[in-house]
Amino acid sequence: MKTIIRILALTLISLNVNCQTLPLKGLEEPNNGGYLKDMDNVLPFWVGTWKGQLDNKEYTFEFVSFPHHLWSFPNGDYYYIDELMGKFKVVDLNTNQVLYNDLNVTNFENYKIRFLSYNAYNGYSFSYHDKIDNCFNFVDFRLIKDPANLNQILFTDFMYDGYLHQDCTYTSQEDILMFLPKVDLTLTRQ
Amino acid sequence: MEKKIKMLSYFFLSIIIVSCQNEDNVPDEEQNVTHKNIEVRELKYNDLFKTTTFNKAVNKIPKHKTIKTDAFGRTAMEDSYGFTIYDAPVKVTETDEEIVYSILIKSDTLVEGNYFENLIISVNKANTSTDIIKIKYNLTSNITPTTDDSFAFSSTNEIKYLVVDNVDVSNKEALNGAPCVPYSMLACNYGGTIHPAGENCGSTFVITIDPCHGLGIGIGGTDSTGGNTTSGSTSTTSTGNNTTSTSSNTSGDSGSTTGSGGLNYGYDYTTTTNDNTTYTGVGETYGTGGTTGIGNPIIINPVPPCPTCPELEEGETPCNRLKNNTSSVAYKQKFKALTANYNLDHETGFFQVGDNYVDGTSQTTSVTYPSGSKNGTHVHNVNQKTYAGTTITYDATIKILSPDDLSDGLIKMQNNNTDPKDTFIAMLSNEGIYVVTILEPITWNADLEIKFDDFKAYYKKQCKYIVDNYLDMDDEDRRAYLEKIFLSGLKRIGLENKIGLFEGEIENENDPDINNYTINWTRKKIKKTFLGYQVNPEPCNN
Repeated sequence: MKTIIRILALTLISLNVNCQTLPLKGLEEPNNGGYLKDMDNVLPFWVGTWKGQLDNKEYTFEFVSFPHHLWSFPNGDYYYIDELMGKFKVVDLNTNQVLYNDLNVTNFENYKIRFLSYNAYNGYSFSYHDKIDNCFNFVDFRLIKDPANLNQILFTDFMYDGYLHQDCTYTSQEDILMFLPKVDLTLTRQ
Repeated sequence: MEKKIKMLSYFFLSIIIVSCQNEDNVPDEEQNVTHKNIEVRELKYNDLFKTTTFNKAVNKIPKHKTIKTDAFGRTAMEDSYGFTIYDAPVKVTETDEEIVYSILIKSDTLVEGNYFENLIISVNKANTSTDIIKIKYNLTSNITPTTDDSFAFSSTNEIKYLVVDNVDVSNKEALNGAPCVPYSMLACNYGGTIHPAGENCGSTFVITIDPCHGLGIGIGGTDSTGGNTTSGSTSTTSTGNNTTSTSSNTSGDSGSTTGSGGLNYGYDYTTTTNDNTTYTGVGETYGTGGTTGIGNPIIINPVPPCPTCPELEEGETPCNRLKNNTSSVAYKQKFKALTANYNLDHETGFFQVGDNYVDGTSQTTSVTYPSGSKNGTHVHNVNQKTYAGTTITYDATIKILSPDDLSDGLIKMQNNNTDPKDTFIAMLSNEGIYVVTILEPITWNADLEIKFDDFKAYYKKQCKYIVDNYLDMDDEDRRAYLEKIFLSGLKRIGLENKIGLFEGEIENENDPDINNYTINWTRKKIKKTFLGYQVNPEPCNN
């Protein structure tokens, strides 16, 4: 009886490798239908609004989680993943003019900031991925969590990370409009 | 008590895993079809020829004296198969009992037409008894690719028996002296349509056809081992629409195989027997009992003609092109010099413009190539950084080609080569040497642009793990991971057969004679298996 139950259990496991649930922080991708899950529960920390000021500009970031989001590919591959997406607004404090604002977006596809990865040193990597009008401009940055003060984070490591040259009217990446801070900025939870 | 808890844990764990399927707006990828103990794989003819089983089997193909005329008009008697074997991948289908080779051929007497031919060599593993048939698929539809890297088509088929049970029957006609052997097609319904099974089909089933007396069509049951083994007559029993039931007496055959629990799948199929009678069967309602009594069918597994075949004629293989394009003394000298630049703070590289190699312009980080470049070789340099708030250093550079190298380099450069397949971009780094080449010309359009953007988003997300967790992996882990990401990304946007990835290894690195300095290339190919994507190396036989 024991053997039968063991065999049954192991057989069922082996027959269902297609339905893997794997940690978000890991090397492996799940097979079709599987799930990359935030097993360390790191994403909820970021959800909400964070603000900071730099060079007389006010930056407002808002992060939203999309748990169990379907990620599908043109060839039919798909799996589910816990996603964290971001949007932001920049206001010129001298003129009170809104320089950039995409806080109104709600659809997953319209968010430009996407959480990528994290490490053991409180560093969380994000990408800013612009739309076709701005040549799919890519920028990387990190947000650093301060375990001693969970209401503050550091925006750092801004780095251009390529853009699509094909059919792009800009001659260099630096010419493409960019409103993210290019230097370190402390943000406070609202 | 503890043991009981452990056992129950096993059971509930499995139940949890079973119940984690989520069906949110995603179509069923696979229906629950019959699993048989059958393995399909693709191998190169030349590699297979080195194996004893295949070599012996090929030697059983009947040869006949034919008169050949050479370019000078001289004639000579030669032994000939009467057909040409193409250098296309050979499909190897292996069951517990037999190993079957499906080879793309073309009969010498036939002109080009809307058909293709395969030679099927079936070897019984226990007694090496061999059956060889030639099957001509007269196409009645286009050959279309399927999502599991196989293809679908419909055809009427003509079969010529060459060898049955080791006996040369190539001069005999079926129904008029030659034994008649039923055949089975290994099918797959991955993606929803029934088609010939490729090596990536996770779930195969068998359609069996008796071409000698009509069409007996059905789907084998789940149990092919439960049949009776008797010598003597075999019979085909089938139910369902438009199928012909018949019986035959084939003495000495291996008896009957009784399936059970057949499935409600049919397969529209038309076959032409050797007496030119066409039978059409639709097995849609065939659903119970499987097939009974077809004794020992030969398994066919169609090998379509190029361009579906990824391999090319000898002399023009992607490996050979790359070797030719990277073996000149001029190229190797520039290449060797570049390997000293890994620790610079900016990228360096050289590019072929016309017949000359020209250095690229280095900006702050990336190298810019001159217009008119036919190919390029550049360094992904070491970029040491420190994790914020720590003193821990890491290398922030990804040591494989990037999507930008493809979209803005490789794809653009292909227009500067007379043959786009000569285009390549090489990347040298302290953790590996990689090259991407054009396998088939790529047209840049809005659709591809969107797909490339998807590829880049995927690549960025996956690669960031390496940068963020640099110390968790060694260089070998990183290489394996990056190859998998790169190739699976290409596959996911449908470019895996248009862009090739090769890894380079330097031989005689410190030899002062540049003639001895050699770059050995290994093609990296990705395959989707039941367990996920897997990268397979194929050395270029340097």
